[in-house]
Amino acid sequence: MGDEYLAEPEDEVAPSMWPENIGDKHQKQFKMEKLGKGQDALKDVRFQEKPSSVDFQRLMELANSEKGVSQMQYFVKHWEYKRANTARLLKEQIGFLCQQRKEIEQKKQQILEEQHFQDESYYAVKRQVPILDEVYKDEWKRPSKKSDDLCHNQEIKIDAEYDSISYWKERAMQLEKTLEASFQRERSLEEKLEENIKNLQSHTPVEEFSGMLQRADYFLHLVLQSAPIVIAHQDTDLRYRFIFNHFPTLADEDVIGKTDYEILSGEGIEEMNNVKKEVMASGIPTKREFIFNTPLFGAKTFVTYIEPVFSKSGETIGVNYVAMDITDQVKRREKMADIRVREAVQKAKETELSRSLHITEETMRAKQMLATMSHEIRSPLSGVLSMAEILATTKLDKEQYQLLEVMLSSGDLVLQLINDILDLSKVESGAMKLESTTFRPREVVKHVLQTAAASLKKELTLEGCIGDDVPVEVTGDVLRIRQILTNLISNAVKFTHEGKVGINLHVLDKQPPGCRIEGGQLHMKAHSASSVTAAEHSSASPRNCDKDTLGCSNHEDACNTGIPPNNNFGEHDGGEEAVWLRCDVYDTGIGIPEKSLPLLFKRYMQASTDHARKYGGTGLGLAICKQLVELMGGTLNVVSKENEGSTFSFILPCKIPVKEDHSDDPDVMPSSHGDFTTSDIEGSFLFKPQARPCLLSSGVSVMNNKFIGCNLMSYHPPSILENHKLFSNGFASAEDNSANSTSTASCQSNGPSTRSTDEEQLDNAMVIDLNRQAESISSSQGGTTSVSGPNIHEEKGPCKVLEDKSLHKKSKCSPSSNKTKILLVEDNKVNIMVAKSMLEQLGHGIDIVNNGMQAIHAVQQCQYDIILMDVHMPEMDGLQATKFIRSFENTGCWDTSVKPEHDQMISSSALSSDCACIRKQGKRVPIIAMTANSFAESAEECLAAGMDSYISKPVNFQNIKECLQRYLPSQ
Amino acid sequence: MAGAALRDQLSALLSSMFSQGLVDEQFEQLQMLQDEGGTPGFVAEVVTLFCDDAERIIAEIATLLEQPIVSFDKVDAFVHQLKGSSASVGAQKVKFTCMQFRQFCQEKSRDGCLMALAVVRNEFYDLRNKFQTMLQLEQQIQAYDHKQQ
Repeated sequence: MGDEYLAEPEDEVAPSMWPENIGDKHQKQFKMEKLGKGQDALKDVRFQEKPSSVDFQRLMELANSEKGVSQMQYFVKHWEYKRANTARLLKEQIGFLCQQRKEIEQKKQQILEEQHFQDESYYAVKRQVPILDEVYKDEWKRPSKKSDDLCHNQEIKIDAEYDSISYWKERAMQLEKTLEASFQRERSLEEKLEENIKNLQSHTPVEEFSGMLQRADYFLHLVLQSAPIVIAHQDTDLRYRFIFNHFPTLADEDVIGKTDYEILSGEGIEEMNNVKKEVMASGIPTKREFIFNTPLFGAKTFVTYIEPVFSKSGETIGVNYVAMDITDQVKRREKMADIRVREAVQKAKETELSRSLHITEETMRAKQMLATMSHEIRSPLSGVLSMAEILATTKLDKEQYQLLEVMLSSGDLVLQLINDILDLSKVESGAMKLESTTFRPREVVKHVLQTAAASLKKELTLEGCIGDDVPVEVTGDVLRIRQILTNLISNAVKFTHEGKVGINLHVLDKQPPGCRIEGGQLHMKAHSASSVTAAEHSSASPRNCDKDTLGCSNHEDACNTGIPPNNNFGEHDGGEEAVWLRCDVYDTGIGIPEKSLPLLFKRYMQASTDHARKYGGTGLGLAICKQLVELMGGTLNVVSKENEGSTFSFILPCKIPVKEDHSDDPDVMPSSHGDFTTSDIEGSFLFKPQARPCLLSSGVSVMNNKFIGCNLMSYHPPSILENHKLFSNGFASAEDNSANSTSTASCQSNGPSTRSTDEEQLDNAMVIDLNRQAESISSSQGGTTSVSGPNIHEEKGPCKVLEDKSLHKKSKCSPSSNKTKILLVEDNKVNIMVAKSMLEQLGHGIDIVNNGMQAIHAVQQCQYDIILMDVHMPEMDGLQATKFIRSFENTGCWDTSVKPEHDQMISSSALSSDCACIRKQGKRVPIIAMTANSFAESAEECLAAGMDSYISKPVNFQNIKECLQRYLPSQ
Repeated sequence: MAGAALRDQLSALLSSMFSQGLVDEQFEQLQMLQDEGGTPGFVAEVVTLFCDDAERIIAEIATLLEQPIVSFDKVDAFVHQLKGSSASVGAQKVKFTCMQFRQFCQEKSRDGCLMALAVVRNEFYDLRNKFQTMLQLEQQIQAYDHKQQ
């Protein structure tokens, strides 16, 4: 039955499949026998045969195969050996028995002899003991192995008197018993012998074989019991002839005699069969994994060992295969592979990320370096340019002058470029802060066009058109808006050879939704600057602007005096209206090819390299414009047709400042309106190329021309003579004074006197100048300027002053004549001295205190127009003091910790002029911080404390002048 | 011509001070203030004030640093003052050394502070010598001008 198993253990390729103790070694036979002894186990073997099934017909065929023959030979040998062994054992037993028999016979002889002797001696006398004969007979007949011993023993045991009758009787009895036992032994021995003989007969080879096979079978089952293994043999047609499957899904009869195809269907079967055929054809065993997906047992993976089986003649008669289910292992393996792949991907990603991070860092560093370098280059470059400008003022011949002009213009170009780079890196790094100021869009457009016209070297018409609905004033970062416009216009001019370039400004009818929120992104600050006068525009705008339109800006100064300065207070009182301004800058130039449009706003990109060569430039301008517009919450885009022109449009959200009730300055407003009627009404500007007036016409006269007949105006490169004014920078005021003010002398004489009083006050560190206070109050109350500063203008008649005012509205002399009151809060004596000197130079009255506390006391007693506040001071620092002052301004009463010691002081000052108190509470004193470190953090702190602005120390003339111009109410 | 020679000497001194970085554009401002504002002696006044102030501060710092327990905050405050003063007059080198000094104060390093103090002192004395020479020259020029008149 189980022979099939034994046909295969010969298999040397996969020996581990089979129990090692089967077969070939003699010593192991005994072990096997021992195990095999249990009868129950053997029964079980029969029972367990179920999972395997066999075609016995086939077995015969297999027996004819080489392996089968050797197997048979082995069995025969084994049987012969066994039989010889048994024969030997039997012989031994026979020998033993023969020996015993001999011994018995000897004994019997002995006994008989003894008996005989006794009988002779005894029966010779008494001859009648018939029973004894029988005893003799028996003893004779049935000898036993141990009868001698027993006999001897019993002989000793007889107690009775020797030779007495009882003795003999006893003896006879005993002998009889011994005889009996001997008989019995003989009988049992005979039986044993018979049995042995029978046994001998039963040890035929067949029985031996089957026993062995059964035991092997049993072992196999024991070992394979729980192994997930399928073992099978298939014939040349790949029909199953034997299969062992521990977890059968089919009954045996469904498998035997059938092919894989007949049993199974689905994935993998075909492949396996092909491999089997291959194995049969090649005769080389193989091991493979097959993935099955059959309806019968689902998706499973088996590793299968297939080996060919050869007949005696070497023909292939079938295959054996062993298959093991490794589905779980495969799954695990796949999972591992998957994890490994994912790990690799992750690692790759990480490397990529770290690389890009590295690149970003590098880029940032490069940008930082670019910014730093630009900054570093700018300083010496401005030195070079300044020197060149000075050089221009010296005596030069024509050639030298031309060379110098080239030098200057090149220098300006480099400076512009560096400024561009700095701007860009500022915007990109988020360091760019927008300032919110109130400005007049018409003015801006006009200025930009003027500037462009001034440097125009082509026959182009520049025009500007501003919609009627554009508000007179809006709030935004005018500098940046100007920068954008200037950039776009200069671009337009650069790429336009004939025709016109212009700006259209109008309000978008439909405000994009959420414009208020957008407006909020403008970084408007609550303490936004007061209105920026045009004078500041020009002073802060790019240098060449100033230079080119120097005459204009001077004139603007005069015009802008009237701009109401106090918009800042009303600005955030109520909800502000926001408008979207749309500005189109159009030209009739070469246009931009469509394919270049997407690159247009990229850094360092130009429409084409040809253009770059032809027109120069870095390609930074538009990138900056776009960034700036986006920073302000707007969008910039372009429409262009090649050879027809381009239009750059940007829309910007702008707040409209709430109109202040101008009753505060009844005299200023009308005059300002008077000044601006022309420009306010003007909705369009036109600068035509023709009619170039002669170079030497004075700036003022040009300006006047422009304003009277503004449509026909042209600009020309600035005359060198005008340049020196700009160069002298902050000190222009003095020159202006000497040049066109009649009050020069009074100014000069006033300076020292003021200073001397201040010096006295310095010692007290606390100044109460009621006289000046009265002055400032009276001027603010509505008195004309002529009232202020009587000590300066005393030698002039009121007429003269009025005339002065009307002609030189913002002549730089005016501050000195007005005696604005400045409080300087500073603890460092040297700083005080320098700052004092500077302020006096500007013609301002100045009170000095040494710390925050003193500053508060000073404010409690005197009304100041502006406070310059050091930040770090003993006792109370500038921030603290500012907070107190601001809280007083808001609530009208001082914090208890800084309450004035003498209430009557306030009341007295209140009595001295009724409005003093009202003004004190209502007006917000501009407080300017003087910070030692001009970092943005520190500046923000200052602004947070309620300061309006800051200047970084050491204060220089230019800074302080700009600051005062900005924050001091104009007269 | 002695006046012109003196002036040459003065301007040479000043330009050497600028080129050495002893003083910066802020000092130029002071000069400008003096010239533009018509206040002769302003620079002398400021410089003298600065020198006295700085000397006092340096002495204060030296005393503080000699204490067994150094109050670096106090030292820092003084250095800050000195920095402010020197910035105002444009004493560039003193200002820079003060900035370094403050670093040491923040690190609370006594040795560093002592070293920085020595440096500050050196720079200051150097500058003061130059200032003194400068003032003397100015006085001489003035005296000469006076005589001429």
